[in-house]
Amino acid sequence: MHMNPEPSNITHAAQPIWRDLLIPASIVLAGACVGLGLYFSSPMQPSVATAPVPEAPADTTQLVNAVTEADHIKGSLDSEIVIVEFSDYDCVFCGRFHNTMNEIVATNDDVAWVYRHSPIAQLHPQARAVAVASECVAELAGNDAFWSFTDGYFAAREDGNDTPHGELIPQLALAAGVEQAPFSECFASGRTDTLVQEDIDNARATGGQGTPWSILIGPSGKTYPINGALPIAAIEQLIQIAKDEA
Amino acid sequence: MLWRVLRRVYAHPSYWALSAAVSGLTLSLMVLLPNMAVLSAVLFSPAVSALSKVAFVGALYGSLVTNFTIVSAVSVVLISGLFGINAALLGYFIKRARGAGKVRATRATTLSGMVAAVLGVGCAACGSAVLVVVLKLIGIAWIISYLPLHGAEFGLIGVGLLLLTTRSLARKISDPLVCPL
Repeated sequence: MHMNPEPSNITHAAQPIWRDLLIPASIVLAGACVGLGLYFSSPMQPSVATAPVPEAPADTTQLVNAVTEADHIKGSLDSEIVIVEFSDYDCVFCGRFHNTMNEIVATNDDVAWVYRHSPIAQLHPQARAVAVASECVAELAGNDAFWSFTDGYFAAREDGNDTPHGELIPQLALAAGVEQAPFSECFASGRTDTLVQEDIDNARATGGQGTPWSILIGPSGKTYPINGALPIAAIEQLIQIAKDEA
Repeated sequence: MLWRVLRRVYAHPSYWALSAAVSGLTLSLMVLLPNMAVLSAVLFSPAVSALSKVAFVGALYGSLVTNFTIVSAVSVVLISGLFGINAALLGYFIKRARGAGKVRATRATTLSGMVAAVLGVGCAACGSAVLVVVLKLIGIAWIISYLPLHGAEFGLIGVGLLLLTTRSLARKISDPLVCPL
């Protein structure tokens, strides 16, 4: 005598199929929501490329433009390790990573930090103007003035300074040693926007999907991608690994 | 009801282990995935010592603090914990049903549940990578500038849905495995 009930007679099996699928469907939906949440709230937000991207080699970080004296550098151009950062002035994670990198170059004589631009217009509509202004500061007063402006901008925003961009930019430019008239002329001309665009293009070409996006170049020329604002301990470890691999 | 079911499930140490493993895996995927390229380059490099590899991976976990907003970091931790709990409840439910000889009855739930759970974890962990492409195609990234939490709302919705899932699983477990009249 067959005592086992047919599966369809069991309470759980008797439930409609959609009830069985309710839990897994919820999990998938939850996962998608979390994915969306992480995507939107993480520093690696999209730069929303509109132009077609040409086919690139597997390791796109090798496409990073060569570091030259024209770059904005903290540290020596001949340093064993070079970290090229693509940043956005109004991105909070870039501010965090800016502090990390300042600490890295302050404590590592053999590390150079190169600052390049990758403002995300869709999220930070004023960031490109700040980048253009910073290039004017660099053009008119040099590398040190650029860093004075850039450090000052990130410090101001970190301190909760919500002065409008139109006021803060000239304030910081003046504080960096640039005179008002030539700065205004440069900024109004928009001629440094070309430099900003070159950086944006190179950030995308190297695989950058958001900011901060950095590429560590080791002594052997090997490149290591750094997505987002990694903690200082991870950067220190990566520097050591790059040296070990040389 | 939920508390009673949780006490019953977690009376077995194996479910603690299952929860911890699933939670740890979920957390690791979500925290480490954005830097999977450099992580794999380091882990598979013969020139890097095992100690350096471990130290680098450990240091990368710190990005939970530096690479996420407070809301999204809390969401990540909650989601990881809830995935662990869900896995334990699901495992307990399947084992109990199978023990009662209801294998066929639970087959749909088992398979679809486990597959969906894996998909769910995958979505949660690599959603950012996948959605970058999707959102680029449809061009809606600007929407987040209008959201009060800049998109972290989706993570909180995910937490809510997982809480509902936990409750549903607990209810299924508390249902007696009986034949209907």
